[in-house]
Amino acid sequence: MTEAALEGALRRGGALVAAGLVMQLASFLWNHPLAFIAFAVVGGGLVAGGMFVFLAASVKARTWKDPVGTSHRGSAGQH
Amino acid sequence: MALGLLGVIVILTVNLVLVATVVQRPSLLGVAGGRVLVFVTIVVLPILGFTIGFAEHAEEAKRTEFCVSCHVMEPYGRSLLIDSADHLPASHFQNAHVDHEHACYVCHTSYAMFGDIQAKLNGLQHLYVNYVSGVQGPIELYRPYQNRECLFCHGGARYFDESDIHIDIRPELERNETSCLECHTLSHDVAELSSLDVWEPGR
Repeated sequence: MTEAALEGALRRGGALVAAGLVMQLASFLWNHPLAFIAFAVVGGGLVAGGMFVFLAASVKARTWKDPVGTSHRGSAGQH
Repeated sequence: MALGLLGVIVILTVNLVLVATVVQRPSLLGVAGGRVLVFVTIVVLPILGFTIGFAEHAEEAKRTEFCVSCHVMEPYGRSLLIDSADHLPASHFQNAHVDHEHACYVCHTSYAMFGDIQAKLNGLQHLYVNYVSGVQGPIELYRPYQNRECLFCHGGARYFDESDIHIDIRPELERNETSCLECHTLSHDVAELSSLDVWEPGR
């Protein structure tokens, strides 16, 4: 995965997190069971989705740079 | 949660501003400090905000206004204003024996999201029933009313402990073998609500 792809994932994930945060903030305008669902399920779901998009892309990028962790094992073996 | 509503709003707003910043400047990923900022913004702060926001919503859910916000609960809210000292919820509410802001929660502490896992699932089911399938028939408690809700305040009070009738049955009351409601029979009485006088505060 390229840096551009990781940056794209940050934009997409960030947009989802931002949408979730807006939903969570808006939920505090209303004291109602649906506001609680809006906070936990809708807002929490969007935030979790955004985190997943970014973290999955980060892990992919790391795997692409170091497919089986050889550089780490290699440096450990030199000691 | 000591942070309160203002604290939750501040954390969520700061998080939102930081998200907007890192999304507009994704090149931050190219530097070590920037990667830490991105991680805190996208992962750490949202988890923190969700945790304290959830606690704040749970606290808000203890408010009387929250409980009676569903149509089916409105008569139960109105029953707190029945003009009769024999109706327990009304008597407790009107004489300020329960906090008006948390009138339902004081006597129904194990209900919906404040109870065990089963109670929480029931709370979700209430939402489904209220908004999707519709409420069928009169609503009832899932299990008989527990004396512990009464004894939490009345147990240990002199007027209660020194009352002969209570002294005689105290062990049964504590074991929930005899319900307080067997003698104190009038509770919300929503079926008769339309025919009962209602107290109008301030008049």
